[in-house]
Amino acid sequence: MVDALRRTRGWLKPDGCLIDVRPAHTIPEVVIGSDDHATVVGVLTVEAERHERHAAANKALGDVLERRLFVLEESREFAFLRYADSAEELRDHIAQRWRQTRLDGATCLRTAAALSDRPGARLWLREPVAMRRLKPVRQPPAIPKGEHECRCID
Amino acid sequence: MPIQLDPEERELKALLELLPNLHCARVVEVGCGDGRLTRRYAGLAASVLAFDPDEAAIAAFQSERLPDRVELRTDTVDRVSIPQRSADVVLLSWAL
Repeated sequence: MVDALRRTRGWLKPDGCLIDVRPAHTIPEVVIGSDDHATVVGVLTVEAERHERHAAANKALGDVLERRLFVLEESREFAFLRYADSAEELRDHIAQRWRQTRLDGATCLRTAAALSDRPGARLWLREPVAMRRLKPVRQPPAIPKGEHECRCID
Repeated sequence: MPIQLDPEERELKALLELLPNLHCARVVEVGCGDGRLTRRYAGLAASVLAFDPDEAAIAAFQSERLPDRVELRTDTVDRVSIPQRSADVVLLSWAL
């Protein structure tokens, strides 16, 4: 991913920027309730490989910042919500769209039971997401041999 | 009712906070998938070149009318041809 970030840097105008948006390294939560009273019913099951990909992406970002290919200018975190009408609908959606992540059977049953206990409650998946703005750092122009960066005037 | 994705548009709001000049930006989006995010912001940008290596996702994106000023490609970040210093914004879209 460091190579990808390096390549994208080449596409940017000198005053351009990179926006990196991706899930924060947190497991998405299954939530039921209303805006003022929400209950976490469980979390998604995430395979080790997905955790490794998160870690690799974070490391790549850290590397390009350390090498000063980019500087971090600003960031935001927000909760990305997916609303479903039933636990089964949410389970099937995740199964179709996500890799290495699932709503397991026990959590699905618990969610369905919790929904039936609270008529009118909504069901959603809450996934923390990080969005960052990074600025490319351009290398200073090379100074020809024999010339000094600063000239002193007597 | 199908699954509702981010109906509060928190993602778009965060994007607009970080890109106040999006209206005059030439955007390159890496990993656009089926265009869920692209469709939300494309009308606010000067132009968008969006690509993804997943042919099925790009086909799903193309199955509905593309927003104006959006160019779509099936491609990877390693192979895609984009002129140097041509983009105001590169958007890494949920890339892991």
